[in-house]
Amino acid sequence: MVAILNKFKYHIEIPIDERDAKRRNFSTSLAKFIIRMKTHAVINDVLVGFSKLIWTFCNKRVFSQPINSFIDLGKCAMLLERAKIDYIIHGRKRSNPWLLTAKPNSVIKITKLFKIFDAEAIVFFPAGEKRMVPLQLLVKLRQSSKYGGQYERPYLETVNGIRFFIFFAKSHMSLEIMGTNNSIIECFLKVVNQGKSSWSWRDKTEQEI
Amino acid sequence: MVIYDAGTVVEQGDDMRGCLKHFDYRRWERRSIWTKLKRGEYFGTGYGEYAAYWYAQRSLEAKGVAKAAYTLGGYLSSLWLPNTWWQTAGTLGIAYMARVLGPFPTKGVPRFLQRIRRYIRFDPPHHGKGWHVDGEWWPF
Repeated sequence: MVAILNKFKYHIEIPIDERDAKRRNFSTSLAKFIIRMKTHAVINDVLVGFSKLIWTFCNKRVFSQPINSFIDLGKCAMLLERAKIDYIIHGRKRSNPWLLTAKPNSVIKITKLFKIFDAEAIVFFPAGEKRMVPLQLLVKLRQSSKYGGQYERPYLETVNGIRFFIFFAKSHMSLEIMGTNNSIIECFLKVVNQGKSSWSWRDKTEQEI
Repeated sequence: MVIYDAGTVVEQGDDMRGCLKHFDYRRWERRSIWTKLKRGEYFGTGYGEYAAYWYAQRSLEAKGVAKAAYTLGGYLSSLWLPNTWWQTAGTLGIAYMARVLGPFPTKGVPRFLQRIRRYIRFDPPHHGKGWHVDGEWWPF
């Protein structure tokens, strides 16, 4: 595990930087934890590492959704079926749903999701005991057009119920975990407990930790 | 006006009648597809031109509110003349591309245009970066 962790660079803000929160219209009570791949790392290894981290953070109960998918969600559902990954379709039309939620049940399946979901970003969040997508989140996502181009905002408005969300951007090859202060500290401690790694933090965070 | 634009005037007379007298109708009919395209004839600029002249004539004759209304009609129809259509279309096109590639919700944008965002787009701050250009074609 140490070998995988060494492929990453870390950045943590508890609470989130005021300037960043203002720029992105987020609440300043949130916290942020960014995990980036190092430049020399092999992409496949990094994706496996990310999958393991996501699996650990979400306590083995993960939901995943593509954000601004480049391919039809109906086609995505077909690919998920082929990869034997459970999913939930939200919408009247099975061929063209408005939202698709995957329920990966292993680390390998999370790694497969990175390839199946061809989207601007992929969000992962803990599924909880009932393994149901919260209705509040669905309502927010239905109204997502009012948030402009900031895809994180409808998710983060339901952060009190779900605690944290993990956003993966293929173009940046990084995970951005945003949520309540406690949940971000939990995630950070999980990383630290799994092995030594190189990480950086701001002065404000250093005092708190 | 039409005669000068097409470049088919052989000899310019003192008045419009003189121009029309020497107008080469055969050459006008034989115009290439490129010439017609440049004049926007495939996109109904002829109607725009007709409307502009119609409004111009009415606005000269009318008075008061009616004159203002006809003038406004003239302004609108002048957006789709043979020599202004591409500027109008270009402005609208650039604005729409900004809507497609910019940091706006993709709802309402046709799927085939949404796919362009995969290659290049303008993103709001995320993943520790400020406003930035992103996508597979963007090398940085």
